[in-house]
Order: sequence, then structure tokens, then C-alpha cells
Amino acid sequence: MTTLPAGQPSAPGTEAHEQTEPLWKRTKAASHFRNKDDEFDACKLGMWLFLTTEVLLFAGIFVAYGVFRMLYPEAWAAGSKSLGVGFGLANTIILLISSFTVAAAIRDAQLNRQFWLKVNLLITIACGFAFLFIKFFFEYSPKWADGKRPGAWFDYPYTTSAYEPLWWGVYYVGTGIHAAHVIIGMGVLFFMYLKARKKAFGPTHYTGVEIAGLYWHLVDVIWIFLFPLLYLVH
Amino acid sequence: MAAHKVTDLNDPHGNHSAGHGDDHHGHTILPMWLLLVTISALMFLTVATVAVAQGEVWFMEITGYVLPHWVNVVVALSIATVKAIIVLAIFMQLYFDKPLNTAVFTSCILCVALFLGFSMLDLGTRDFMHTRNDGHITTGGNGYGLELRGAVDADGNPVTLSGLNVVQAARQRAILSVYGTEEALDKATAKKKGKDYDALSPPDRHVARTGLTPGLFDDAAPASDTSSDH
Repeated sequence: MTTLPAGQPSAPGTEAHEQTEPLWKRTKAASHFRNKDDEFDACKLGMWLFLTTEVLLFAGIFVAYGVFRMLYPEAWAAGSKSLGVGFGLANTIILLISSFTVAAAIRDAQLNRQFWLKVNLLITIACGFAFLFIKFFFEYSPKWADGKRPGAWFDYPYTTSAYEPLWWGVYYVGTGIHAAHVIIGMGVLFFMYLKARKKAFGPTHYTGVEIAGLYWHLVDVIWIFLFPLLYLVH
Repeated sequence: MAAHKVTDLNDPHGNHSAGHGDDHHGHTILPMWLLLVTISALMFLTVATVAVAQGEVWFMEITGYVLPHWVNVVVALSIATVKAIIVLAIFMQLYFDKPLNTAVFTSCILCVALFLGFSMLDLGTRDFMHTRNDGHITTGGNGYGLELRGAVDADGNPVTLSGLNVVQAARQRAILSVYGTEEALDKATAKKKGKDYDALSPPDRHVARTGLTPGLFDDAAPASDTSSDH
């Protein structure tokens, strides 16, 4: 960590200073920013711009869902009925709880509650694991074993619609890309946890948790739409 | 709202003002009660959307009345939209943030609405458009079978010239209303286009095409072309 002049109260650059001042107090704005507020606002705007590209990525999947649903409604009804609403509901609740804990983690960083910051980040990551566990072990693998697969892999003999493989294509790609975002989000949050262990976040510096939180919330927002479209709308 | 800060020329990077914990005004710290109310509302709406979806099925089974499909879709997606707005406004702090972030995200949502809206508008109205335009349109896209709209013969009856494509119909309309003869139109066209004027070719004239994919443009028509009942 580069030691920058920190002003009062401790002498900068000394070993005593390193020990007394936590990392978040010593973190300065990058040299091309006027101050930390500008840096924070710029980071946040940049993240929102990135989130718009994420929304557009999923928009393509939602449009594919809508187009194929209008063309082959019976395939969509057949496919949707073979999903378990209970698993979808459980995963929705898990993601909502994780959104709450990540918002609480940001609040903990702002209030310098280091222990609860780390706890909330870990709960959020645990929620991600729970989501993926349900997704892979209760949803993907039994369906794949049944032959409910996308496109040319389709091998389910009891379907009543010739276009059901299309439904599974949209289902696996939509939820798969979403699950990939959950995995990436967990990685980012774990990185934030490692930084939090070094006391990198506090009242004057919590940009990392805030940005990671925005990413995680967007993953939640996408699921808020995927859940009714895939599980509830017949 | 971050308060406007005058740049300290002696400390343009804020190195000496940071670290005291008093320069971070303007950042919203959400109260815990608000986070709890938000998560409670989201949970309630989640359970509600599942209950309504199950309730619709139950209602149809009990009463035998078949609800139209759009009821299910509109109810589920309305609740989802409310939930998303709650997450965006409070958890993602757009409500407390600089309006620029909201503007960025809203413009993205508008683009998604256009993308989704026009795709759905196209597919959702095809049966209606087909009925409405029956007799006016044919497959193929060159406009064969169009009526010569706006043109009337000597008795004042509309002229129907089926068998023409759109380009030929446009020529015919001009001949009937302005030029009188085909030669006069050709003369006017040559004057308008200059000496490079080429004789009229139909819009569906076969031009030899080439490509990287072997056999893609072979003359053999696809099987569906001959068996089609259009």
C-alpha cells in the first residue's frame, strides 16, 4: 500500500501511523480526481453505465422469450408447467435476503461497523451459494436427466408441443447467464470481504462495497423478472 | 445530494481534508428501519405474486371460467415491476442519488421498451394486419396484386390492375394521371435520370448472386416453396 500524506493527527509514513490509522482512513482519491466525493460519484456513474449494458444483454433474452412465447404459446405453457414454483420462490426469497444483507453491509461500512460489514458480506455470499445449489441440484440436473434440454439435445418423450426445445433453450440460456452473474457477483463480494478484512472500507471510503452492491442488486432485479416469466406465467 | 465543494488550490486532491470523517457529507446512510420495511415489502409482493398466480388457476378450476392469458401476464409483470422499482430506488439508492444515475438507467429502460415493444407489436398484430390487408398483399414482398389506388377510369370506377408489382403500378398511376402514354413517361424519366437511364427492370429481377456458402443461391427452390398453400 502506498503511503500518502495523511495530515493530522498521526505522523504520515511512520510505522506508528500505519498501526493507528485503519486503511480506509489512509485511502486517498486517485490523483486525477479533485476529491473523494468526485471519485465516488464517477465510480458510481461508471457502474450505472455498465449496468445498462447488463440490462440490454438480458433484454435480448426477454425479447426472445416474448417472441417465441407469442409464436408457440403451447410450448411455453408446457415448459412452464414443468418448473417447480417452490424452487423459484425459494430462490427469489434467497436473492431478496441477499440484497438486504448487501445493503446492510454498505450501511455497516458507512457506520464503521467492521464486524457486521464482514458478516453481512459473508451472508450475501452464502445466499449466492444457496441459490446456485437449488438451481443446479434441484432444477438443472433433474430436468437435464429427464431429457428436458435445449435444442438438439432435447430428449423428453412425453412433450405435447413440437416447439418445447425452444422453451428449454430460452430457459437454460436465461437462467444460465443469470447464474453466471451470481457466480461473478459472489467473486466480487468475496474480494470485497478480503479487502474488508484489511479494514479497507469505512465512513470515508466504501466505494468498493457500494459498487459491488449495485452489481448484486441488479442480479436480483433481473431475477425479479425471470421468476414470474418462467415460473408463474402459464 | 453531495454539497458543492470549492476546490482548495493548496490541496486539489483533498489529501489533507480526507481522513477526518467530516468531509463525507452528502452520502446517504439508509436507516435500518427503511431497509427492514423495504425487504418486508419485497417479501410480501413475492408471496403475493405467487398467491395470485395460484389463485388464478384455482379460480379457473372452481368456476370453470377461463381467464384470458393477458390477465396472468399483466398481474405478474406489474408486481415484478413494482418490486424492481423498490430495489432500484431504495436498495440501489437511486431515490437518494444524483439524478444523473437515474437518467442513465431510465434511458436504458426506454431503449429496452422500444426493443420489446416493437417486437411484440409486430407479432401481436400480424393476424389483425393479415385480415385487414387481405387482398392487398401477397407473399414475396414485391407487391404483386396491389390495387392501383387513387386511379380511376373514364367512368370514375377505381382501376384495379392486379398482376402488377409496386413499381409497375407506380408507373401506371403516373401514366394515367399525368403522362397519358408510356412513351411520354419514358421520355420524362430519361430526362430526369440523364443519359445513364437504363430500361426499367422489375424489382424481382433475378441477379446472379454469389457468396461464401456453397449452394446457398442454387436455383432449386426450397421444398416449402412448391408445397406452400399461400
